[in-house]
Amino acid sequence: MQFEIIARCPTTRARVSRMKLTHGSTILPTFMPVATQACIKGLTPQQTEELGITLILNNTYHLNLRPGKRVLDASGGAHVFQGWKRNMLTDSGGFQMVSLSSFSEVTEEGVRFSSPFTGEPTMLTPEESMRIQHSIGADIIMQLDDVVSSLTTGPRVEEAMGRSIRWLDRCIAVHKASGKADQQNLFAIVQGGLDHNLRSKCLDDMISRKDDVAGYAIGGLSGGEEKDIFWRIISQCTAKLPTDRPRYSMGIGFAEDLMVCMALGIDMADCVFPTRTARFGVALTFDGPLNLRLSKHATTMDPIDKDCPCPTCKEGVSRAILHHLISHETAAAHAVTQHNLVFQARLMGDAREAVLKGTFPQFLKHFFGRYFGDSGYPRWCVDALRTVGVD
Amino acid sequence: MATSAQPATPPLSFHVGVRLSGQNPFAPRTGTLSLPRQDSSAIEISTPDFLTLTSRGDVPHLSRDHVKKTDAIGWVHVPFESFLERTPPVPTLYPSERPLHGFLGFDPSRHIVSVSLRNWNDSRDITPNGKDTVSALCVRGVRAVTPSAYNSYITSIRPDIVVALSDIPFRSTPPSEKRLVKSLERSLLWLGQILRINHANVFVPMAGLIDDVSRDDFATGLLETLEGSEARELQPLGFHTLNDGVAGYTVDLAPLKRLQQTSSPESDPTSQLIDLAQTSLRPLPEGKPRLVTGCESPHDILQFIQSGLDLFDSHFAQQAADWGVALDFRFRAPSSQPDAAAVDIGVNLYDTEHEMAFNRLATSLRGGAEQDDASLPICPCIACTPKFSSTPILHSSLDEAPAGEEGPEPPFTRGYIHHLLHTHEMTAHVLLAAHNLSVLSRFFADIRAFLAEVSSAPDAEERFNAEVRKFGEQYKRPDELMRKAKVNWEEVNLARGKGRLAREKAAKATENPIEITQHPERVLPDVVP
Repeated sequence: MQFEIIARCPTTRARVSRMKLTHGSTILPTFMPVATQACIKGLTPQQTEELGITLILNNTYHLNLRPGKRVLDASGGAHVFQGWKRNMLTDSGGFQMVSLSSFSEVTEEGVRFSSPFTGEPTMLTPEESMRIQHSIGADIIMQLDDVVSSLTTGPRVEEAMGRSIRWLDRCIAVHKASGKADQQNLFAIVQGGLDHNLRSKCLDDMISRKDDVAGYAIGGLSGGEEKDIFWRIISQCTAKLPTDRPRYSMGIGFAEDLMVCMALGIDMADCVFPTRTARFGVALTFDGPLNLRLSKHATTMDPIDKDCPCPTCKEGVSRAILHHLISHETAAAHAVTQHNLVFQARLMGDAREAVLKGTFPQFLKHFFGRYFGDSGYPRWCVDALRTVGVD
Repeated sequence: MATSAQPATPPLSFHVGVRLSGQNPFAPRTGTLSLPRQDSSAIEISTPDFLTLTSRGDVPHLSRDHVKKTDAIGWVHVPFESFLERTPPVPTLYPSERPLHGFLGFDPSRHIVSVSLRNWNDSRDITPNGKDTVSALCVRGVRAVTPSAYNSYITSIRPDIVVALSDIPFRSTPPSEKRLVKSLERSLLWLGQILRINHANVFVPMAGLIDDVSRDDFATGLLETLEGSEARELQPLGFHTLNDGVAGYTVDLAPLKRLQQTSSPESDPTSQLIDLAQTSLRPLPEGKPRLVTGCESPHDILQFIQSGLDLFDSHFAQQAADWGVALDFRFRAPSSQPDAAAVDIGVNLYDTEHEMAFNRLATSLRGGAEQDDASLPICPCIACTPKFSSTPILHSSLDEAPAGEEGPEPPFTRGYIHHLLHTHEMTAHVLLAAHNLSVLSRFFADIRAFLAEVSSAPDAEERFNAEVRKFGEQYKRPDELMRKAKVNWEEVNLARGKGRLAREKAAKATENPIEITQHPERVLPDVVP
């Protein structure tokens, strides 16, 4: 990977950078749409690329279940299998431990899952996670980490943090020996729950492995914890993490979260939110989300956003027809998905542009004012941004 | 109702091209249907060809950018009933010269848009029609639509072609003679009423169900000289018979097939359907386009073309896409070994044999990027010839467009779509919907080319019949293929679709996604144009 910082915001910790990977360049900070099962739900790779997206996330856990390592190896990797030519990141399967935890059991060796569809037991070790991610062939791969819910307290959190460091070492070892280290870039995942001390220890240990790691993710958040502690953990991490490595906050996708994280020095984020909410008929706009299922949109002939360059808005697809089609016709889900992904990309793109011009603080104020309107800014955003010089 | 202030829809014209026989009024034939546009351009449809069905106004699974990229989609048909959820129906409110085109995003320079009240492939029992009303189905329940309401909607939305209201008694047993007579009378009356608005090109569904006498009576009724108030209203428009005002004829197979199932089983149901169609068309002039809806196989389509029909709908191709079947057939059928077993017209991509299959969807058509099999025509669909854009949206000044125009990508593989189907991913159906419409389009193009090619030969009809026979020998009818695929689809949907967690917990049976609640009938008011 080539990672080059192009501009820094003089006020906040935001920076604009270029990350050059095997499948091309991605300008950061960016939002990564999630293509869990080897596609962005409802879209083709051609449609995805047309939206200006250069980096997507595939999920190791799901791809390992279907299509499985054998098919991926025979295909020549996920890029070929799913027809995506640009950059790809795979997560390790760790998060599913939390989201599907009624079916899993964690030991030092690895994680035992019961497939929620077939009941079959599957063991995921750090080594196996690396092997599957090598088969998938993503440009960025994640270590297997021991994830606990952000709401968990007690010794389990420290145990998970310590194990994540040991699993990082195991991942590094397998990755180095694989011969893929020059094509695929391994990221570490900082754990430690909501405890600043644990996070600090984890940061120290993982930063000491900097030479074997291409980037750092901040995991173990977005589990329903208080936003007030969420940003403080992010801030603590970005303050300590080396500036010459990209920083990735996992599971972040709300517009306000992205903006605050960016101001705190985050470069990458992923979330199912924009695509999932699209399928439920909610279109994201700079004036806040629009629930197209409400009857107030039933006769509105305007598009979601007249200024939006997405295929849906540019074609003039009306809110009224989307209202008529949503939750009945898949084509409506696709149309709103395209719009929401462009919204996310526009948000990040406009933010990058503001950093380049040195106007990021003004951009933030303008964004928050328009997005939240009369309902007022969330308190935690105000607090967080104040710490990086934006009031 | 007098002609509206807006300009009337320009009349379509239809010209028969070649006929494979001079004597037989139902000989296979080609034709050109032409619809002029205001700007003195015209859309031309060469027949035999098909129209693409929509659901709630969109082509299933295809967002507008994909509709644009699918050349196979030309004439588009819209059942209007889903829009009856609201009063006034929302398309009537779209501010445009062509409100329905505009509201649904169909470019008038590329698409003919036709409208009927009902989905003609839906032959479920609903509340019976009345003397003055047709029952239609929307998500909120049954609506009773009067002819004047329907006509006012048509006036507002200005489709290129409108299908006249028809009284079809939906039942699994044949209706009584009295009921049948009533259905003919009502249908003729409603046809007269829509002709009065002189608004759009009117296609008339041929009434009479499976009764030959009734079908003949209906056709004759179209040719009777107008009398009384009808004459007074229609003669100024140049119509002396109802048929004068009719632009085309439709034969809907769905209600007929339903009746066939319970009446004495025919050894050759398609032949019986063809006979019924021809009974209706025989008294009528040959020079108007003949549309048959609801064919369930290319075999049936070929038989209907042999019997003088011009236009078809995309029903079976779209249904195949819904159930994970990629179509793979051509006319003329590729030559095979003399003893070779018949093959399917497509592949059920749920089958495990496709798990490691990295070949393209259709063996009989190649992908745009593939150099081998150069003798095969290219399938231009987004699945077989995917193309990345050279102008993606650029979100900041550092974002870069791709260097140059890249060629098409290799086709999506059977293995990938197999994976998408088993993981319940919608993208599978997106790719299959576009592919199947393209295969259908190629099928009709090849038929037209063949008809033109042999038309001058003295044994033209025999040669076409021979190719149709060969098609039937090489390709199996798709009933079993589709039945199995549907079962596979239902299994995955049950395991992974909406509500699966609740089902897993409570071990419920299959869910019904759209519930038809029986609301009290509401007769809809006219829309003020």
